[in-house]
Parts: sequence; C-alpha cells; structure tokens
Amino acid sequence: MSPLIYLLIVFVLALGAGLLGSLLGLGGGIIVIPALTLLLGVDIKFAIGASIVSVIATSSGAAARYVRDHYSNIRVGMFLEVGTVSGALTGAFIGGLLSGRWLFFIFALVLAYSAAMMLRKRSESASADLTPDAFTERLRLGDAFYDKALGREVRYEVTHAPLGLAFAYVAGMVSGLLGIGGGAFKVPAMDLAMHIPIKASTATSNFMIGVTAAASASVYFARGQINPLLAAPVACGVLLGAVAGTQLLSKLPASQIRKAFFVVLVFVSLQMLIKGFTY
Amino acid sequence: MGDRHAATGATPAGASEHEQGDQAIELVISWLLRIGVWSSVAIIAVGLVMLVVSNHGALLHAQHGGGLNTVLKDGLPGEPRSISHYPDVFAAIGHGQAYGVIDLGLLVLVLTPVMRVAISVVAFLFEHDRLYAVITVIVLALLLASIALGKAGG
Repeated sequence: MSPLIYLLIVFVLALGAGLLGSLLGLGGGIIVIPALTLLLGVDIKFAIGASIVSVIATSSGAAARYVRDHYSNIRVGMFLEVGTVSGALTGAFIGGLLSGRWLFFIFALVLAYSAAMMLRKRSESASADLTPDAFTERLRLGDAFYDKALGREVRYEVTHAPLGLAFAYVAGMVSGLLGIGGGAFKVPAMDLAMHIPIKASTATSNFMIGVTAAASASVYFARGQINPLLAAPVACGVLLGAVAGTQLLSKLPASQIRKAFFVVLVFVSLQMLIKGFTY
Repeated sequence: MGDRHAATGATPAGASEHEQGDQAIELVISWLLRIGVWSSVAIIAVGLVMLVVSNHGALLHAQHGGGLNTVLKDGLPGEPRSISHYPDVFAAIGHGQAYGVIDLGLLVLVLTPVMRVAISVVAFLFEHDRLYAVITVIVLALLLASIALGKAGG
C-alpha cells in the first residue's frame, strides 16, 4: 500500500477515535493507540507520540468551552497540575527506558481499568458543609458553579488536597508513559479523594489534561518520538472527530454505546496484553 | 432570576468586581485556547498539503512490505529523517520541507497550554493571589523545563 493510502487510513481511524472518545468521555488516546498498533502494526512509541498531540488538541478545545461555563476550578487544577506535570515528566522519562512490551502491558491494564470505570455509577458527592482539613483550607480550593441541569448554584468545599495531589502524580505518570489524557485517573482524584462534584471534576480534568500532555509531548519531541507523518493525520482526525462527536452527543443513546464499548474495551485490553507477550 | 443565569450561565447574581475580572480572564483564556488549537491544525494541514504536492511520487509509490511502520521510520525522500531540535524545525521550513511545517504546527499546539498557564500567572497576580501565582509559576517552570529538554538533548 502506498504511503498516501496509509495517511488516509490513519486519518479515518483518528476521526473514529475522536468521535467515539467524545461520545464516551474517554479521550482519543485510549482508542487511537490500540487502533494504530493492533490494526496497522505501528511502533507503539510512535503511536504514543502521535496520540499525545491529539490529546492536547481535544482537551484544549473542550477546556475552552468549560472555562467559559465556569465549571472548572482553576485553583484545584493548578494545584493538582504540580502533581500531574511532575508525574508526566517521570512517566515520559520512564517510558523512554521501557521496551514496547511493557508499554503494551501497562496499556492493557489501563484499558481494563477504564472499562471498569465506564460501568461505575456516578453519584453526586458535593457537600457544602464538608469541613476541609487545615492544609486544604489554606489552599482555598472551595468554589461554586451554576448547574444548568439543576437550575441552581452549587457550592462545594474541597478536602484531602495532599491525597488528591498524590493521585494526580500517578495520573500524570500514566499520561506520560502511555501518551493518553489520563482523565480516568484525574477525575477520581478530584471526585473521590477531594469530594469535588462530578461536573467540576470533569471540567477541571479537561483543563489539566492539556497542560500535562504538553509536558509529555516536549519530552517525546526531544526523543524524535513524534513522527510528523503520523502525528499530522492523527491530530487533525481526532480533533475533527471529537468536534463532530460533541454535535452528535445529544442525539445518540449514550448508555447503550457505553455498554457496547465496555465489551470492546475489554476485548482490546486482551489484545494489547497478547501483543505484549508476543512482542 | 432564571433570565440572568440563562444569559451568562456563569456568574451568580451580584458578582463582585473580582468575579467579573475573573470572567474576563476566563473569556480571554477560552479564546486563546481555541485560536491556538485551530491555528495549529491549520498549519499542520498546510504541511500535509505541501507533503502531498511536493512528494506525490513517493507517496503514491507502493511500499515493498514492511507496512506503515517502515514508511514512518524511513521517512520520505526530500524530508528530514526526524526532527528533534527546535532550530531544525525552522531550518526545515527554510528548505521548504513539509515536515518542518507540520512540526511547526505541532509545536504551536504544544505551546498552547503553556501559554494558558503563563496567562494564569498574570491573572492570579492581577487578583493579588500570591499563593496561586507561585503555584502556577511552579507549574510553568516544570513545563519550561520539559521544553528545555528538547533543546539540550535529542
């Protein structure tokens, strides 16, 4: 097959990944990397380099919307970013030392985890009367947002900042290792550890993902891991797919898609595991 | 009550001057993020077009086995094998190489969140929030350190 055909195939795959990712709230990286490595036999390190660039594109686009709606908590985001960016640098560095086999194994684990996360029922964890611990209190992380669905303002306090920071470091490391957004790890850091309401957690996670990815991308670039021939169609495809996805979001039965995709994720996770063994 | 919220969707009733300043900065950030993303995609698209136009012979020529991975590793004739130093990006553009243009677009994309963090430093200083100005500077420093890795190594 000619390179041109490959370019087109990659672009179409990326479009699909962006579309699915935005419909499922998963992020393109989780879909694009298995697609490129399993279907096209691309070196996982090139796939990771291409993916991280697309992660910056989609998350910055989403963050642009969330920032306007004031769901994101900038202070929480900045505070946790100290963790995620440090983690990303660690992860990106380690990722350079590991052979592809281990990247496949770790990716399989993350996919299985993401699949499990998709099934989890989300319950509101906001509490205005939550008392933060002393350290978190000094960080002034509590905030408020206007919840359009509920039709009222939601105020919340935040707690356990150090724990959140530790989670954030791990989230950053996963992102730096695998070239994914890592939202599946960042959102629980805020939602579970710090008791931030899910809408604010998701919006803030989006804002953080781009910054974290930028750190990883810089390291990948220095290693020559970002191949322009691959990164270009992936970045464009995933972004356009994600934009299309947001348009379709309201028209499609999200829960059915999620259930179907749970099965797909488990299957892909196994495929990545096998690929690791046969590396 | 519903009207005001429906209109802005963000600031609660009786927003203080501080919160209005917040909102202005958030709008600027939102706008800059979108500009960063779309202009980078535009540059990348230009690079792709350049690639097709200048390389159509090599692009259409079927590869003898090896698949996409080989194409990626070998690169295309007339293009640098790989670019891992920032000055090389501009050198490549100077030579009219499509990879250079694509990489420029990718760099603009990577710098977009960095720019966003830099603006947040200013925003926090503007609010006299020294604690968060410092926290944000730390994040910015970490980001710049990761970029500096690009200059030093490869």
